[in-house]
Amino acid sequence: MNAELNATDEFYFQWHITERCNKHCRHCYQNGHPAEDLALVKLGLVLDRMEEALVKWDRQGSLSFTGGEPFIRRTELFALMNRVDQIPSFAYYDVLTNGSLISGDVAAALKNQRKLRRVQVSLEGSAPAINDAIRGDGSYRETLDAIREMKRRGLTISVMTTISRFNYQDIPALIEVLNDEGVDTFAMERLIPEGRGESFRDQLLSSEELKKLYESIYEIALQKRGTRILMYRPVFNLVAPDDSSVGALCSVGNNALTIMPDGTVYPCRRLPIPIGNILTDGLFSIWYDSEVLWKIRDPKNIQGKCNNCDLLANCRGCRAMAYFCSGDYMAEDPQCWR
Amino acid sequence: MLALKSGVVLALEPGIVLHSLPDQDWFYAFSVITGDQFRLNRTSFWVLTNISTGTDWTRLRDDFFKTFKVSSEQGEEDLRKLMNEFYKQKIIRREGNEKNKL
Repeated sequence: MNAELNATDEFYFQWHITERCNKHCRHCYQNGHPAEDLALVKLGLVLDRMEEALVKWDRQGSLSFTGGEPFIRRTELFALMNRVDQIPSFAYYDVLTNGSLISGDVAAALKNQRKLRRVQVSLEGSAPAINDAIRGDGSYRETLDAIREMKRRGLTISVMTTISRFNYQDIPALIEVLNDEGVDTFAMERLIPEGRGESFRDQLLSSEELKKLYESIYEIALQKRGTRILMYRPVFNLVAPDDSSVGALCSVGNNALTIMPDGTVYPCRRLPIPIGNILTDGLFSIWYDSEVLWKIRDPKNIQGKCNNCDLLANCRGCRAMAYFCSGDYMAEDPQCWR
Repeated sequence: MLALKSGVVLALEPGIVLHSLPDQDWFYAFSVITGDQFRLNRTSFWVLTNISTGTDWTRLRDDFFKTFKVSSEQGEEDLRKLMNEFYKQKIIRREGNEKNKL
């Protein structure tokens, strides 16, 4: 199995099978009004649509099952994973979870999933004081227990952190913890002031703070210690423009879509502009004819300093950050320090 | 073979949409029904864009000669070849009720 695909061969789906969650994180992009879940038979139809598109496009699929908290729908989640295990056009899938519902039994069952590449859990800091202030009391302990339970069974684990003023100075210490725990990969997303995160807007990093953080993370990554630091994100390019392991063109409009619990399709979960419904419109209509996607695909539509940037072919900033800071998803990325 | 004669009105097949990023020399026709995608050149895209407006064969041919500055003899032969290819690929059809037979 090829667990790391080339962007030109791959098509990525982020699939939120539920928006229900057992946590109430302060920075969450959900707005507190969960969409209705689809029954398993309908989830199967969603999967059919994905497979049909992958076959037509001759792309290898990758998929993240997430929520809400996906293990709230444990039965459906495992049924879907079993099915994807049998679909040749999917190369692999990940599960993105808060980790709180991963018992020993669940970890053992995950180990049997043939195409499960890794389980991603979220941690916001190196210690409970930081993490639990965002994710709720006891969350740090639960997440660490889940990591250990899964590592014991040989699963590949990734940790994701949402970076803000609240935790950015703690990231080097967090990476130390992850190294000690044997976590395989570490990734960061910038806080987007949307959903509940809207009330966290004052915690957005300034561009200078982001620059300082990304530069320090890059220095740590160069040491190539245990945990591999994933830096494939827009704006990260600025730190080391000639290093292909740093930065990436946003996948919106290029090779990715987000599917919500009721089948609504977004360009990206962080850019929640509905562009259709996978069950009623189908993927071909959405992918080929969405006005939003076509606007994003044409780099000349990007405004401000992003438009004239020499890294335009490889970056283009984060459209969601532009949208929630200015109201225009084609505006410049406000956290870029150029 | 496409029987093209004066007065024949052409149309895109249902579900065909056209999109381009001209600065990147990127021209496509897509079928939102079958999922098929067709990479085009600038000339083919111009022809299909005109067809999408409901033009008839005579006007399309005349506009083609003018736009691409080709002789009527060579231009018509090239355009007919192109139209037959579009028809074969199920990108265009003849508008009207003659069972869409071209």
